[in-house]
Amino acid sequence: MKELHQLLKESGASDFLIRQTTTLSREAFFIGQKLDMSRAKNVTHTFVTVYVDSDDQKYRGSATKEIHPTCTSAEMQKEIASALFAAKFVQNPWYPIVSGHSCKAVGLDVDLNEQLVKIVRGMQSVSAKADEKLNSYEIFVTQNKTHIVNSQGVDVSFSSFSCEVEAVINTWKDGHEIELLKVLRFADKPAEEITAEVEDMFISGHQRLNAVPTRQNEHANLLLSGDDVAEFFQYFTAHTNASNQYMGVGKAKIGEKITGDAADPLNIRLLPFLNGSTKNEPYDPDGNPVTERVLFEDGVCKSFWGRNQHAYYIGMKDTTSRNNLQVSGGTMSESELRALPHLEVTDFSAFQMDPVTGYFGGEIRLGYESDGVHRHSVSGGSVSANFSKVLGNLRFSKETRQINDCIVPRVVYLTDVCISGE
Amino acid sequence: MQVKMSEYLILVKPRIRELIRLLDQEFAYVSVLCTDVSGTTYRVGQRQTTVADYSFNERGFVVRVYENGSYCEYSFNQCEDVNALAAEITSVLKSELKLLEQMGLSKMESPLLHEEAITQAMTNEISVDPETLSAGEILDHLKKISDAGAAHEGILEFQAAMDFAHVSKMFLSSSKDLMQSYAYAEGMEAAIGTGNGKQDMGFCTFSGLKGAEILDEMDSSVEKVLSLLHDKLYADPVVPGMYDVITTPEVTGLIAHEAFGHGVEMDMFVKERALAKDYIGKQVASNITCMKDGAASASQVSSYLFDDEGTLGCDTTIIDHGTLVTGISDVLSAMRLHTVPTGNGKRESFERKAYTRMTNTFFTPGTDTLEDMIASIEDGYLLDGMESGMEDPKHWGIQCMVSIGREIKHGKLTGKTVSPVVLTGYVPDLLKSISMVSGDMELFGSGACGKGHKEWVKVSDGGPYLKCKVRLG
Repeated sequence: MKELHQLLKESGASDFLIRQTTTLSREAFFIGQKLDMSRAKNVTHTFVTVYVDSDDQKYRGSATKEIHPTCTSAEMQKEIASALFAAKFVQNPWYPIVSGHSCKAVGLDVDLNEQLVKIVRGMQSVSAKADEKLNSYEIFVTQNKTHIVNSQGVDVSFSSFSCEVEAVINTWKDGHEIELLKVLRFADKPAEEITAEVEDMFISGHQRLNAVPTRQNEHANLLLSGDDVAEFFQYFTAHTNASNQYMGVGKAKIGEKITGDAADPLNIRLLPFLNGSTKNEPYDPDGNPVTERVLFEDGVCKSFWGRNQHAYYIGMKDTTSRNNLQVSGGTMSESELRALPHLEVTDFSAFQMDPVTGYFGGEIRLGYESDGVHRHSVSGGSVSANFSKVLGNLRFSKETRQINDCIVPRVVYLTDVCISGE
Repeated sequence: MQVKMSEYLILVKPRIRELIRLLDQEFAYVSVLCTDVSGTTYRVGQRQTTVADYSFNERGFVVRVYENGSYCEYSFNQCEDVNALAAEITSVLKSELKLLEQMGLSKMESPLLHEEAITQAMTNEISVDPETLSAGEILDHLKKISDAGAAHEGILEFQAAMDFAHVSKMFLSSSKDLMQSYAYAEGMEAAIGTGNGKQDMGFCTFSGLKGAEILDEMDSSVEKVLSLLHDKLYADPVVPGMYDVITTPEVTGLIAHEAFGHGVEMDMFVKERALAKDYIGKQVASNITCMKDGAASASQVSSYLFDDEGTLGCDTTIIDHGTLVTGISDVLSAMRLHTVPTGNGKRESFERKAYTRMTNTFFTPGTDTLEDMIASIEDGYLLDGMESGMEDPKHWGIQCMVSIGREIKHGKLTGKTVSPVVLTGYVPDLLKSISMVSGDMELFGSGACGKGHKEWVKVSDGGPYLKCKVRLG
């Protein structure tokens, strides 16, 4: 990196940034409980961003290039020259880059083999009955070591660690077999918890086997309780994002309430660190420290967040990127919400949420129709809803749970949602 | 012009040969895939301009070895000291496998690969080399498109983007010496606007084994994008139910890809995750339905000489007049299923595992005309514009997000539209309901395809207009 740094200093760039990440991984792939393949990785990626200012300092162009570890000095110079040339034609309003942070080697080295073995042990302990099968799973254990340097004094190094398990299970009944897939992401989770989370998938599998077709209802009450609850709340981070605000598509306004008067008080904050989360890097890709920030208080937008460039454009005095999200609980307990008539969807085939249009929904893989007392499982059909209709009386449970980088209410209750079914 | 092979891969080839020689002393099988993909993304909007590396850029290596009855892989992107590298690869892979074996794990049966000796090379041609245009010229071109779109009332943003990719790959083993280099381009126009109390987006994509000539194709599509946005903004919600529909080639491609393509990826047969395994030789679609996949089946972004495991690309007929003929497969799945690999072993990059993946997947054209197809519908929709889809090979469920439905009443388009539209159903029901197939043929290769929720690769899909019956919501 020293040579690259020197070449950039001499390049004539108005500013520059180098981001180098070395990734080490151990991976194991299983079919049933049999090892299919093992993999390992040791790769380094170095990205250079050069900034070129217009003569009158009103505009700032930038271009980003990867400098491969195999590049010679001549190749590095060629790539830098090419990036500088392209940056001259990019005329974005001027903005400063992050300045002044210095921090060496935050984070600890992890024994990747040890972590891999721990997860394999958890998965090998999964107990399946005669009508259940752990179909296949993939394990990824990854450590990233990142070093960010820029021309304004930023020089920070840190490491991060993440694990991912993609598990597929089958259950069957009377010759009919179904499949469920779940992705677990975490930085730290006991083997027993991994085992339990996968075994819980079997319960959902059996419920799906007993499911009847979802009934059509154009004005349904919907209870969201799966991992998609985390995705649901990304609507609020999207509309407070500085880039979306600058592009004119962010709807949140500082000091204004985003939810209706009948909605539960919405309190959302960004957290730089969350135990067990895979997103705890102390600096963002610009080298800006990640800090705590309140986005909504009782439904009122308190602040925006985002990368340095767009934050400057919309006049933010300081900004932070997003690591972890915390949504506080609502006014009713989960059991009180469940006592209301509803369709609960625990598994979508792919939950979609488009913050631009406000549309969200998807095909129902597993759900439960309930009159508040009795419930039965359903499958098929789809949910179509829009935030413009549900924000007015958005309800969510007092109780919360952690889904990797998000702490969110255990269930969300929505009214007047369109269900396509039979 | 003829696309050139990566100079870097040519330079590094002797070192990789030496690495294979050293590893051959330790392992029963050794191969190395070497990749060098370079390209640039240009994006111009009214508020921001971006120039960056293309998202699929990569330069690196993945070695596959056979050790103690299993295949193991190691991804790396530095290879100065070949002796040290060989020692590290040997140590890491053997120790990881040993650790897993010490846990008493069972292993999948993995026969040793026996490759036939083959040496081949391929390069493709493009009309206008992007390298001959300066960044300024490309950005100016995109700016004019963006300005033209943004000048219309109610438009919050109009973005025009262009990606150029130059793919060079080399596959080496003791038997194989394969090299290929090809270029492709992608374009995108997207309008975000408000109207009728709503905010929405309309977009249009472009792709092909092309160079900078794709910019000229983009010039004439601004009105099409604005019109799509307008139709979405002023659309009504669809009344859920079963409808006779006609799918545009783009939506036809989405169905080919999501409904059936993922379901015939034969690594899913090995895992018993695909219903299609039990339907080989059986009727799965109406007898006017034919479907293909293959790197050699069409000329689009996933057309190549060899896949990421060194298997030559094929032209595979999947459905022939309604009958499921075969699936598509990577080399390890084919060995386990005792079938012939079809050149569909693809990786997201040298850093990821190879899986069975689609290449260019499409329904083949028929003989009907679009006019006759519209005239045949009493109450239905012309489904236009694909947004996203999700596969379900185990249950043959289908979920596709379509941009818009154009109402057809009494054999005529009424001008009314519905949006958003979620198409769901049971795949064989949908395929068996195909009653008319147009003579048109178009493939779309923008964006990327995931397997589950990850492993993004370039694919194309498409076909003719199809008339079928589906559930809309």
